[in-house]
Amino acid sequence: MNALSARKPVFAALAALFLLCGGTAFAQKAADRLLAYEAAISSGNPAAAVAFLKDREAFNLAAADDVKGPALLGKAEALKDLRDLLAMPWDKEKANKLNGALSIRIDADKPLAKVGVGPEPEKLLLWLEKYQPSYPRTKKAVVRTAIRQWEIVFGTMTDLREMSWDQAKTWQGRGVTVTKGSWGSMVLSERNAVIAQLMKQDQAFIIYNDQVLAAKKDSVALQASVDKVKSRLTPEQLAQLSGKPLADQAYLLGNFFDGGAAKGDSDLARIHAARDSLPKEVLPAQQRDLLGGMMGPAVSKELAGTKAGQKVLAFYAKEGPLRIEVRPLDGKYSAYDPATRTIVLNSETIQQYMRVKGYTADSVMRSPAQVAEIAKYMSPVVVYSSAHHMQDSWARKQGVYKPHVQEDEIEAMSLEGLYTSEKLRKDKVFRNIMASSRGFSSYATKRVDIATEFSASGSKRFAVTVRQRYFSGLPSLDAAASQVLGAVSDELARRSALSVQQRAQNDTVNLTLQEAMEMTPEELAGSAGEIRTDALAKIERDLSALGVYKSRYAAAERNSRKALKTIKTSASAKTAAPPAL
Amino acid sequence: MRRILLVTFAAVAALTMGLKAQDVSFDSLYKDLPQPVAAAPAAAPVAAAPQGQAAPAAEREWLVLVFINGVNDLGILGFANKSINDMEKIGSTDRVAVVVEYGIMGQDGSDARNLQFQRGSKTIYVTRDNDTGRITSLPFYASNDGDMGSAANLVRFVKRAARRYPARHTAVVIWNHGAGRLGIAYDDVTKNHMEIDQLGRALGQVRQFLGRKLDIFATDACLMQMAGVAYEFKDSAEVVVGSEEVIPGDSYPYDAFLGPLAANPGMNAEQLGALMVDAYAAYYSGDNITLSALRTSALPGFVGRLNNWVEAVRADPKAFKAAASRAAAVATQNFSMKDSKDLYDYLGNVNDMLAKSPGVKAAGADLRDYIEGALIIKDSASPSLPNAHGLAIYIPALRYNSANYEKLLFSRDSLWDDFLREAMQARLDPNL
Repeated sequence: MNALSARKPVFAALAALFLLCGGTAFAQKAADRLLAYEAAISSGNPAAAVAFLKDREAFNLAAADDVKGPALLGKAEALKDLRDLLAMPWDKEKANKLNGALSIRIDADKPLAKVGVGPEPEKLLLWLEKYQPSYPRTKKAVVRTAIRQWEIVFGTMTDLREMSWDQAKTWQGRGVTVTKGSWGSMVLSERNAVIAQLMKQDQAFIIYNDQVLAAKKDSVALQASVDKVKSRLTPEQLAQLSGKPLADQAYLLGNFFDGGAAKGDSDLARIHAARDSLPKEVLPAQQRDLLGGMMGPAVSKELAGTKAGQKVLAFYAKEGPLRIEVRPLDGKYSAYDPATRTIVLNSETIQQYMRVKGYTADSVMRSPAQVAEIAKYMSPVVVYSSAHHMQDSWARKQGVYKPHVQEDEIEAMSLEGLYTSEKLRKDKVFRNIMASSRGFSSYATKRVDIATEFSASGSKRFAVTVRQRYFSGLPSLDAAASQVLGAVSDELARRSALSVQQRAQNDTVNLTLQEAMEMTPEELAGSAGEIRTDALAKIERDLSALGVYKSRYAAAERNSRKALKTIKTSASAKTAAPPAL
Repeated sequence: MRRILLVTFAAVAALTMGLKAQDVSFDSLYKDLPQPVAAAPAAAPVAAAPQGQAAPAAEREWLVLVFINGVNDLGILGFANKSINDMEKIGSTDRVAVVVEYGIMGQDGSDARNLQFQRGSKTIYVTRDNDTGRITSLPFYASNDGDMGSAANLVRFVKRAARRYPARHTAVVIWNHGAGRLGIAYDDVTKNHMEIDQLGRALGQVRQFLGRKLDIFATDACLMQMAGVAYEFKDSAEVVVGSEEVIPGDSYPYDAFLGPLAANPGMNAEQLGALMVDAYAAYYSGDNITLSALRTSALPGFVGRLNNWVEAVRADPKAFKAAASRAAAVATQNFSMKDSKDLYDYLGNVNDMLAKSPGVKAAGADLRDYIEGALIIKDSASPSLPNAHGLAIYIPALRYNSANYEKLLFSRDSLWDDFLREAMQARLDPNL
């Protein structure tokens, strides 16, 4: 059941106006409809928002007003985005993901707050009751957890929580108090900050952070593996481990069982994957430079002959060589660096693979076979990051403001999924590498998961997966546009009261268009007050025409799906999904 | 000692990062936390709507920019307010502009100490007042975003202030928790912080914007005066001021150096850097503190001499054994982050362990002389830290943190990372 079919109209007038599109109500003058849209959208009506966005005549009429038009568009996009977000299948396992998604949408000065959804998170519950009354109780319960309702977090027996905040300790009388009342006025990021502090004092609160939960689970598994492997040690080796923290123990075990790789031993594989690199396994700068240079041709060889790979290679044939750099990336597996137009691979991900395989920095430098193997292993994320390069290139050519949004990730992950699923079918060595790595590497697990999900699900379902599981904390295009438009239109309205001279004077110290174009939607929305008027107007124009962006995403989606169909129906493919690993 | 990395980092990040982070024992840093001596109440900041924006004023001698991230325990404890009030004791003049970007969380001042969030950040042109309990300088800009852990936000702040208050000399200070090579400016609400390489790139943008180096880049945050950290700023600032050890809650005594600067705005970067060190040492005469100012133009020469020392050690097995030994590391002055050790002291200890090895001894002595005579403009340490000489360096006990250290320019340009890897390889020998 989707959001629209689930919705029970509350107000008869609105129902007549927005749900009977094509009937007599719709035949009203555009100006009348616009007035009705404005009123309904201001009260948070998502159906009105969707209807307005589809009503070209009223939309164009609104757009004619430089100040009110973008503001209304921002609110409408925000409501549509919220409706779409909550229409996704949320269960209690995904409550923290939903929290991340809501945190970037429901906040002070966000467009949703202007239509009554926020900044206090509980206003979302009222909105749900009003506009989505038929949502099941389970989904509403997930929403209550996601917004960190006081009763969910602290229970119903107390209205007050005394707590330490790092060095502000309650026992010294300099801690702080949180009351149910103050909780009610906190936005989600503030509630999460409080919970993060409580996590340090009470393990029960770690259920509110998926990363911490996963790390805890990994740590328990690692401890079990370390304990098992200890039985194989000599007394001297055991003495070296004695009294050391788990990280040191894993590191020393890596040294004891070094060089021979894991060889099918799951405990050793887990230890090698989790531990720090031994000195000889670290890729220093000069070797990273060499490896990066070797990876370009090696990865290109991997990409050749695959649908997604051909697309990437065609792009680089036209737009310059595929340049790859290897360096630490703060937890990301790969990235596209727009400043240098280079794809960066995380040296730590490569070193993890080397540890499990028993490779050293020197052995990799000496062995074309090991370089080729690493290139094969990392090739999916080269495809993924190439998609970001293509997006950046498109935006430069179009000259439009290009926020980083979920749709970018859907496109990039689709291309990667297409590539990996084809490689899993056609390339036995690739399949074996991924199969043998999945047990210890979240990198390999994610690559295979993405391929499987892309191949097995339709485009809409895959998009939902990307939005929910992988990038819930990133705004959708609608959300980004709505937030920027809301802030920009407010600022332009404020400036319209200034004299031309005042505006010109302010613009001499404000941020330039180039500086604004490099900002994230969050930064832009927060900094609209210090951006030059012409830059604001340009960005407002860009984001008022989302069709330009959406048609690009849609074309990329069609291409990937078409290619997938070809792969599935090709003679070499016997199954619809990649082989089970 | 209060300006130390958060329990957030210790507990949450350690869990989330699993074994990828070195095990810095942050918890142990909290044991001796004193209460602030005269912390001002954490009054709610001035309500801030963007004010009418000033046109660029006539060029001053100095623009002092302080980026105060009090979105953490430091804000709650009143230290951020205290620092701004210290600046307001002096204020700006027609020759020196003091501009602050601040985000502060705190409590409402009631007996219950109800938690309060500021939301967003504010930029103030600091004006003089006699009220040490409230921030009275008016904001000329307020951002809803206000991520105080964002390097991009820092850059925007510098641009915002420098466009309005142009000056011949510019100093930038970051006020927050510091964790040396691991980063600075931890915002508890956004969960963001600045990695050192990020900060280096941000200051590179600042240099590009200004068309010249910053005159001073200072960290009013613990543990930041490390070779690998300072080197990241070598092309962005003339003078780097920071502390090898933790910085007490009261922070820099801003009035103690802004006052003399206002009286003598013609001082240059090195003079102001030295003044900051002296003022700090005078303010904290009884505490375990360090502060130093170093000359970034001397960093290439420093790296050259450090590389000479590494090459000499590599060529001398006995010297390498001594330099890589636990004994040399243990004997060296360390700070609250245990793998951060005083380089000058370490070189002396290695030399003391060597019977012969003239090449290594000469290289070590040369490097020590260069640190003392060319690199460090001024340094100060409490009598309780006699072996602190103004510059710390990363020397792990067992595991080399490649995910962090290999990101630094220092690892690319110096042989120190190579030495560390070789030393850590030697440490795997239980008999060493």
